[in-house]
Amino acid sequence: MTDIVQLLILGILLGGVYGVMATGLTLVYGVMGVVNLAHAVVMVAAAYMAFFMWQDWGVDPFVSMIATIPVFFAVGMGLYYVFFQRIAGSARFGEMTVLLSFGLALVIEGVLGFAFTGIYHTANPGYATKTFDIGSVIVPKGQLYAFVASVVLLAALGAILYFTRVGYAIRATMQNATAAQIVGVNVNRVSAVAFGIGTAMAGAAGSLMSYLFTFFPGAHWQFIALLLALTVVGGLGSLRGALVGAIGLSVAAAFVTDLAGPNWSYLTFYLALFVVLLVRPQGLFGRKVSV
Amino acid sequence: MSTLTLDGVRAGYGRGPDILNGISMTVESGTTCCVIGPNGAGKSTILKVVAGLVRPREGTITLDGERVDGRRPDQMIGTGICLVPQDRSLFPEMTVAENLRMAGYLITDKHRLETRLDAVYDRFPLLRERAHQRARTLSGGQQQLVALSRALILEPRILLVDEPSLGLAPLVADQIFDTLRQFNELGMTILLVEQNARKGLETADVGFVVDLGREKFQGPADTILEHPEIRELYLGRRGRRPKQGIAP
Repeated sequence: MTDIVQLLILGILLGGVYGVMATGLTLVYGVMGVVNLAHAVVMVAAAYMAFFMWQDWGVDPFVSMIATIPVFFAVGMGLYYVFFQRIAGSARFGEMTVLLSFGLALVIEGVLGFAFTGIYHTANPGYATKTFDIGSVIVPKGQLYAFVASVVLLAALGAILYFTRVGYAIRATMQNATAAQIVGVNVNRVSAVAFGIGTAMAGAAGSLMSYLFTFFPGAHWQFIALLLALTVVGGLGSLRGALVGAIGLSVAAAFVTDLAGPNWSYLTFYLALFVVLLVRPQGLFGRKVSV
Repeated sequence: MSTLTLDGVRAGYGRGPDILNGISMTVESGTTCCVIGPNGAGKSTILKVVAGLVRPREGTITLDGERVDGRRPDQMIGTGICLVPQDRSLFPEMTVAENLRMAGYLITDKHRLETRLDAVYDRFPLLRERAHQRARTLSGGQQQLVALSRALILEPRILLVDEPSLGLAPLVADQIFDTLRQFNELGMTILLVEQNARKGLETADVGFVVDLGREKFQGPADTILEHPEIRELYLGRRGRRPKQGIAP
């Protein structure tokens, strides 16, 4: 029983962090139909920023979010206006954005590799290796703090989406872009803001990543594969789906790791992806698209 | 009240051919104009061009003498042009109340928005009852009512309505046409596209027949209803009179 509680706790804590990573990705897809393959490399870039802030100035990774969130919000807006806006009217917009974001991921990875080499980095604040021991259940402090930060970030995102004018516009565009246009929403500007928010979420996730994981420029491929799996399982474009997918699969992966070893952990995500695509291709919370 | 004029408008989608081939028409202030024509004639494209969803390749669109062509849809809303599209374009996961509030997206004065919302709820008490119901769970007629009510929130100078009766039972469609008449009585100028030509023309003051992206005929709606060639071509078998009844 203790083992089950232990695994549940570990899965939920990590799932919260994956939730932050995934909501940015699914938000951008929901508003613009962009599968942003550069999402995870932005997280790695933010992780480097947080790492050097910690190493050089002693800034705690959580405090570094004060910088990573606005910086990467601006980066996201910039990427949208420079690259994605140009092809917004294209008949093959979806396919082009996959290629474009793939190219962006390669370029950013190359720049990071050039600047920081391929060696592994990880910030090491005191709490990263400490635990709370509750009876026989162990709660890693670093993961618990990251989970709390994730809840705060997701609550802030929810507050923006549900209680602000721009949030209403984003949700409206996610549900029906044409309808949003005909009630007066400037869809181009809203798309830029949504891309900015999605990238800011990647920035915040990068701050957490800086001490939760060891990272190097090419680490983003593993993360984007995982994030795509859990967002597709939840339903691409569904924020609720991304959260449920993140926490559900993370818990499942924790159990699989315990039963079959860590090598099988990632297989959980892809197996779930495979099953969902066969049984319910629109994902758990996605809407069916008919042609 | 406002007058809308299209002059020599050519338009199409993407790099495709022209759907509108130099169409010209005027919707006089305070009237309801119904556009009829066969499938693919360009009826809905007229509305999309006026709403800013499709950019004209040539020609001008003016509202009370001011050129408005080439503006974005959100700028068209600011100008006072509001579209109710064929698919109703509601926000399916939002409630009725949220859909109506979204219609007031450009209204920054909260008091003014609340007043208009109250006016809509007073006019259509059903919407007040369903205020917290998600739009996707409403019936087709109720969804159309929400779509039309968004126009009341915006109080547009020109209301563009695309196939309001599409997919509705005849009785419900009649209610929707009654609602359009009420809107016109409130002073709205309405440009209506309707596949059910007879119903559309019965609701309108002026009829406009379009084919292959060009105007074919325009005149008072009752004249069009009586026009033998148009009755034959666009109003279907029910529109035919016995031979002895045809005017020379």
